[in-house]
Amino acid sequence: MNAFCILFTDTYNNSDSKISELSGRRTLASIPFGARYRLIDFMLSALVGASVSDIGIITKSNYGSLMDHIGSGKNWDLDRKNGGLKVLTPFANDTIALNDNQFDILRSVHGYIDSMLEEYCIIADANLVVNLDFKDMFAKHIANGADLTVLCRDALEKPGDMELKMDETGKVNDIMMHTGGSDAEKTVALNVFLLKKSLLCDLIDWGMTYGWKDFGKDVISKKFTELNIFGYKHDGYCELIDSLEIYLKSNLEMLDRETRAEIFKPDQPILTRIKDSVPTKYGDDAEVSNSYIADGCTINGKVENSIIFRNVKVEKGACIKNSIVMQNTIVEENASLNCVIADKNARIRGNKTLSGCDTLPLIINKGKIV
Amino acid sequence: MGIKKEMIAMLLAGGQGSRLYVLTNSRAKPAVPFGGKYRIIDFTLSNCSNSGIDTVGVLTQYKPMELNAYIGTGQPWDLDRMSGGIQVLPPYVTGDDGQWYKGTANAIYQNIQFIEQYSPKYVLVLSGDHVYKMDYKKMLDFHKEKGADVTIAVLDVPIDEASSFGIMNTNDDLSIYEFEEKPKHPKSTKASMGVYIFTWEKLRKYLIEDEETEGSSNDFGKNIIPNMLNTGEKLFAYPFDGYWKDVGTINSLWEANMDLLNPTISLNLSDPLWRIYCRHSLTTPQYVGNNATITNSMITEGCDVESIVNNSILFSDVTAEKDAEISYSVVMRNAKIGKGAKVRYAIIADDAVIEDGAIVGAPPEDYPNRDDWGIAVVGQGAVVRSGEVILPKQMLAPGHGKES
Repeated sequence: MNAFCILFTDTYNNSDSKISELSGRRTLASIPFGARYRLIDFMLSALVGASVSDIGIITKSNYGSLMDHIGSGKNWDLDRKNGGLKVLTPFANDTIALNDNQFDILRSVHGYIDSMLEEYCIIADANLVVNLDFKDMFAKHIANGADLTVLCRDALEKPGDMELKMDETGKVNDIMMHTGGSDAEKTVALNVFLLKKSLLCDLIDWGMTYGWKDFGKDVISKKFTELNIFGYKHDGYCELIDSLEIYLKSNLEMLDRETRAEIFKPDQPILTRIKDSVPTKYGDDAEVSNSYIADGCTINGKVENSIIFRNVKVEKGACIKNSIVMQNTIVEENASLNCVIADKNARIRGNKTLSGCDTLPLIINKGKIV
Repeated sequence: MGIKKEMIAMLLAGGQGSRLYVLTNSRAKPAVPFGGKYRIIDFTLSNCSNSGIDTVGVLTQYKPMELNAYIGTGQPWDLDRMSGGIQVLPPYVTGDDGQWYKGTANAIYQNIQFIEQYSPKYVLVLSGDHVYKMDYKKMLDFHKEKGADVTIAVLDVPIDEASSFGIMNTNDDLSIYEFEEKPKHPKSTKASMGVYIFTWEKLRKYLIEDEETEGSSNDFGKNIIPNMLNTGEKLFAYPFDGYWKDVGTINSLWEANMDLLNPTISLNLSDPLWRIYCRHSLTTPQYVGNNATITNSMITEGCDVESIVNNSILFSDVTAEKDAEISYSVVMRNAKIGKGAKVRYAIIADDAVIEDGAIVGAPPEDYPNRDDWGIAVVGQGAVVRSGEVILPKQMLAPGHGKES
């Protein structure tokens, strides 16, 4: 596919969609997901699957864990002689005020965009859990004669969502921003766009001229009468991770075989950083059911309806239900967790009982000893 | 040519492993899967990498395709280097003198040119057939300290097993005065582990001499070591203390796998200071279903388990369905165990299919005459049909029962 990608690792639009509990010390894109992945893996894998190999990753702050995760890009086959993965750290200077919005950022990485030789460009956020087929999106973009194609999905809208009203061909003929939610499913735009590089450069200029901030909302709302904008709906599982509740729910949805089949496809695998963990050891007192577990764990307690990341230790008598336990966390003897999200390197001391609820999970911060 | 290296490693990986029968029909012994996600050769390659050896020649001969593909650029072991790195060295033909490697010593002899590119002071000769963790750097320190010409790593074995090894008889200072290959009446319990450090200058001389000797087997154990000993070179035994196993038979391969489940055995695979690296398959986490009961087992990424699993090792992407039982068994990559099937005391090779209700292997208790009992083996890609029974000791060839 003749395209490069600008991948945002945070939302940069001052929205509430940043999950501060988990992204306080990391980018949204590097939030761990599904026992061994990070959110950025889904978008990177889709890009690599469509042979997009020039990827500029925008990151501004808290990027330690992100850099650690992506490294040279080797695990995604993105350590290339030509192109490959490039981390772009936008900066403010005399002419560019960095107001934490996407247009200022795009302007500040203009040099990278100019240097790209591909005709098309993908602009994307890295907060979706999806196995996206960019080749299909591109084919539809061409077939539709579109100027801009935007990914969308049917979902219950939330405040701030942009509803796309489309004709039968998928052309956007009206839009509506919602201030309140609704009970009916609507077609809602997601922050993944496909367009020509030349149009992107024009849009950046317009954006600077008129003080636009948010790529999706400003471009679509101000240009849909002028440009051919089409919606592209992805068939299959697609979740936007924008709250703790959704985060827990979406993780636990990986326990469903059919959902897993829609995300982890053999012909377009989700790639992630390889760590040399040993296989997971189950002890004599292990009692595990309906759980998704990474390598390197030692499990000697009860685990039910849960997601367990690499190198987690569950001691004898401990009980974990409906929870997410991240890398290197230790759950000591007879401790009990229900609807808990335990971040990396935490330690839950013996005999402690912690419980949240499915719509309000309890968070244990990185490295916290409870 | 290359940058000068103090020591390079030459890894003998041509072994046929004929006593592994159906497991080595299509691959060399070092490529045999082990311990949930590894291959046997991962141990020596990881030892090299962890010991700071960055130049490794891998000598292949028997069925090298799978091994070559597995080694690739050496990246999983951090051996893809600008200078040195890993290099696969198959036997080759130049004009009229091309030939197979005639013996272990001949394999090194044929690659003198490769070795000399790096002008090494020392050469480490290894075998890719063993499971153990060892710091070759410490062994090199010992070699230098003793001013040795050859240092041979030795393991203390029980005296009643000593007659099946090459035994080193040593003086108090660990210098070797005698070497006996599989002695009937062993005088010592120091068994050679097949790990040698040679001072290259000396080894080079003996390799050339040996090559010119008519009727020589061109073997380290049979020729080179005895010749060096007879000429009065300085040979030392380097005592190794730790887990070491030659996984050359079905039983020893099964036992070594079971050792990983035994907390009293000292082979720790999860030591962050001495990792065992391997080439990973692209797969997902493991899913453990509502019907699963798993105890004392090791399970790898990509598995989907709904069955009973006890005292077993499951490699990546194994599917084990409801009501199946897997006990005291090793199930390799991408095998499928159907509903209600029983797999006990068995090795199931990669891509094999055990259909619903089939039975493979049996516990030793069921066989009062122990000679009738043994590990059952299902070869790569073989299919055991519903209702079929594979008895202990029985072996199915790769692809057996598969519809063509």
